[in-house]
Amino acid sequence: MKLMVEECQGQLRITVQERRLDAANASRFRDLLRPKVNHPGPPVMIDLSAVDFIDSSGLGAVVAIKKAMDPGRDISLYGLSSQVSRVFQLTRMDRVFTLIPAIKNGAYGER
Amino acid sequence: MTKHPFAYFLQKLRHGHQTLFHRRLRADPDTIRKVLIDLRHDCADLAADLLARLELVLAEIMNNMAEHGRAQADGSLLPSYIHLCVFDHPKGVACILGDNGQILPPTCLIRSDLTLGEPLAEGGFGWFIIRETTRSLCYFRGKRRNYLTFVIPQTSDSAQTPTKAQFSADCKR
Repeated sequence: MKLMVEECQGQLRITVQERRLDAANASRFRDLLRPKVNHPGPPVMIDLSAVDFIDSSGLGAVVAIKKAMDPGRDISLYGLSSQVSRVFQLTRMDRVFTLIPAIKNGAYGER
Repeated sequence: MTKHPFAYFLQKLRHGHQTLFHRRLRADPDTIRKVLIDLRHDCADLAADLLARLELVLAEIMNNMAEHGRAQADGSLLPSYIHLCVFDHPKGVACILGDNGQILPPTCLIRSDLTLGEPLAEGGFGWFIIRETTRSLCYFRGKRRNYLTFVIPQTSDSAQTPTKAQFSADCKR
């Protein structure tokens, strides 16, 4: 499971360096990230730009990470492809997470 | 029925349409992932949106099959084997999957809404995605094997009014 975790511009930025977030790696993803977020800290942004497929196992892992977070922390998901967005919209998780679409110039959180 | 059930359903559903993808695989997450990557490659001529919905549904069904393998006398599970066929269909693509795992609870096919209560659920999305994305979803159990057939419609708009799913405890149709 390839991840990059860094504090940057007042955020804990977690960059997922995997093409797929599915039943084969979702548990590992969840178990690696829960200890990084289960305490007070800056807002969390998960960069999913490299992910081109997510299934319900991957979605469940993202939900588990949100649930493990200190209640005062915010979480947003960045760079969702249409395939990944579809899963969040279909399951109404777009109402639970702040979804930030990918933008071409590479800047985070700006349109 | 004298034919093997998979062959029977395949012949009944295919009606001479072209087979797009065909695999027999062990039901474990790593193998399923490899087969889905093959699917993307082999079915690259399909519209991108249709292929994306097909891949998602097959991932959900096959990983569910992987979780419910062959029950042993001591309560342990052995991996089941999945037989998958995807073929061209006038309304999109049609699929048939068979496996030798545990029987599917009929409640899986019953349409129900998702609730976003607290605490948030970490699971239970898989069958919701399957039901919302497919049309003509049917399940049959025969010769200690499970069979699922369905259509992925050409456009996602046409999945907004899904047909009622069917459940049959045997294949004698």
